[in-house]
Amino acid sequence: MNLSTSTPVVTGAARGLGRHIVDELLERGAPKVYALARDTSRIRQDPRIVPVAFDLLDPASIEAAARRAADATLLINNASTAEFAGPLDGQPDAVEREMAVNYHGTYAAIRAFVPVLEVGGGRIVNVLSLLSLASSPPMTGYSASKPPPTRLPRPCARSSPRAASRCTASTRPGSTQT
Amino acid sequence: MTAGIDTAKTPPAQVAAGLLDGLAADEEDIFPDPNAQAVASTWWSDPKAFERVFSGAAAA
Repeated sequence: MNLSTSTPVVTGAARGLGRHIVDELLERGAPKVYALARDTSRIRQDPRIVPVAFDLLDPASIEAAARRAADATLLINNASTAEFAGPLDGQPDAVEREMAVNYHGTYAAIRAFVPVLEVGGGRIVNVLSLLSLASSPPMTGYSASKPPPTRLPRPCARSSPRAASRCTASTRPGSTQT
Repeated sequence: MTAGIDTAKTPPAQVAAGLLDGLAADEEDIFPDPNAQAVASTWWSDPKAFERVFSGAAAA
């Protein structure tokens, strides 16, 4: 896809990898980037960056963000959460939170944005980590929460060919300095 | 996110660039950084060996 003519939405855009994705999209000529984050005050000020409040644990905020970014043509699902805990010492509510954010939240974002991407055509990419392919014992709950989103792209592409004309993509970074 | 194996960490700007390179090239499975690319070949050729490496049961 041509990024210089795209209108991207980046979730988790206030810090870490998300912030760098926003900068790189602007570097490559995207005229406007929707930067979604829980704390929009942490998003850097730039006339090309549109900050939008967004929390993967808050379905109403996801729906509102999709209405706000009505001209989007690319959704980069970058936001996620991670606990560093082994298989027997992770707190149950922390494990639940990883699944709620990383799977249910990502699913909700896809469902909210597919109708938006139907309008202009578009694409979805889920940032999943290598741990979507294999478990790492020190991050057991996180490892379990990352494969489920890989089950979403093909069904979504089947149900909405225009929104995901080239299917949706998965990206799996290794260890990153964030 | 940090994997459970001892590898060099990639600067996030480089990961972001690799991600967008993959999108621009319409790749469906994007391995955006050198760490990910190094193990991706194992995943394609031998997924079970890949699992063992990440669980610490085998050397890379």
